[in-house]
Amino acid sequence: MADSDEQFTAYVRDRGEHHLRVAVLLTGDWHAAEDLVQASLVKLYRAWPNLRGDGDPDAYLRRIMVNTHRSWWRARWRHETPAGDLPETVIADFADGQALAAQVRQALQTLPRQQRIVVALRYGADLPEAEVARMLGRSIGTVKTQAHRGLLALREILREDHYERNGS
Amino acid sequence: MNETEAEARRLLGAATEDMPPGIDLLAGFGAARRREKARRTRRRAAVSAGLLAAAASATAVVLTAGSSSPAFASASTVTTALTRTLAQSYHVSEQTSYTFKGGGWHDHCTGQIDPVRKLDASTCSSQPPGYLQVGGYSYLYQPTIAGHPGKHWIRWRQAFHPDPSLDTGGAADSNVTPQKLLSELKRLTKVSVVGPVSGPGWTGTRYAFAYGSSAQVRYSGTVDVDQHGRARALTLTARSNGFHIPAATPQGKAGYFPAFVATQSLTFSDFGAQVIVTAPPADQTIPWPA
Repeated sequence: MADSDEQFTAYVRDRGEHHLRVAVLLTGDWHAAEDLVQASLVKLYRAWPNLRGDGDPDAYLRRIMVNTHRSWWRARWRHETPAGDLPETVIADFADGQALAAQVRQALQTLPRQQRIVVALRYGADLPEAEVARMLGRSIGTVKTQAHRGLLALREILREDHYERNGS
Repeated sequence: MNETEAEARRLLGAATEDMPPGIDLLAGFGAARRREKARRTRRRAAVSAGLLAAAASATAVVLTAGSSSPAFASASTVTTALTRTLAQSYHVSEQTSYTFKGGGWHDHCTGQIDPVRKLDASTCSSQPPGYLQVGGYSYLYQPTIAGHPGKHWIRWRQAFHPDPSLDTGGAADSNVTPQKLLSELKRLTKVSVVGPVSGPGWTGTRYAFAYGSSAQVRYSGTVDVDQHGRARALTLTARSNGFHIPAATPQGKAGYFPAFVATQSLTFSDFGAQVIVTAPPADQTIPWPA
């Protein structure tokens, strides 16, 4: 048990930040991302003894994160009154690194949820299309289409934002 | 890689460049892990989102089922047996599993429970040696507790087996207790007789049930009722090929829930047996949160 815990701890130290960066693309903010990763780690820990050896904890954790994110979204869908508009985010300057980060995340949040997941996994986690398709239970063609549409939409949103802020 | 994809990678990379300092996944996880261990051991039944969603929608289906169906008499036998089982002390063995494409988990728990005196001593394969409830407190064993050498038990005050709401919207980390599960199944109005069944020291009848009128998740299971009218075994399986969640927000976003199979199998024994639970030594116990 202690040995398993140590291996799990080592894994989190080694890979936690990577998964946190993927999580923030899914959730849009760091607090929610931290919550998502930690909730997912609890589930990974539950399965950890069975994963060692031939298991791939990265793939397992990604799947847990995506499913957990879905379930959170689904719970909100059931129990909360959706807001008509996304909350405004103050963005001081496009050139500022933090502002750019927040702006891209905000743009991601405006994508349809499935598109956002595909874009985050495909280009944020840098997973092959086949793996994204397998994880989401979709065809590779569907993943390609959603990734392509997601990118176009993202680019369009950011372009509009840029024009609005710069008046051109 | 084309230009658009390269731009996407650059943008998404930039989107994570403002990671705030001080995020320690392990620090946060430590508390979450303790909570999770406590919850899993406490409830002995770890059931996945699908099973919970199953129970939630099953409730709706069952409540609208016609009580004048020909199987009503059998349903009454089963629900009475479940009610009787819930009202006395018993030992329980439970197998739980959740599988989906590419992964899954399983667990085995045993416990002795006295719902009247609010006593519980149980342990799961995932986290020996276990969990206790006695004297209005819950105790969770930990091999080591950081910063507390010589301490092995974490204690907190808690109501006996608080029932989580089944209508959790499919929260993937939600669990239900055997008590709650049995309570939900008491609402069954349609069952069928499978045939005679027996176990060590008992004979009885196996009843089968199925519910879930939607195409999303299908539920089925069996209840074994012994010659004294007590539930001896209960199995519940929830299956889904995956389903889309209809658009219901002003944004029109839809969701997708992946395929899964979740099973829970409970075996009850030693009805009415005296349950003795002793609190751990005080000098090995710390309050939680520490």
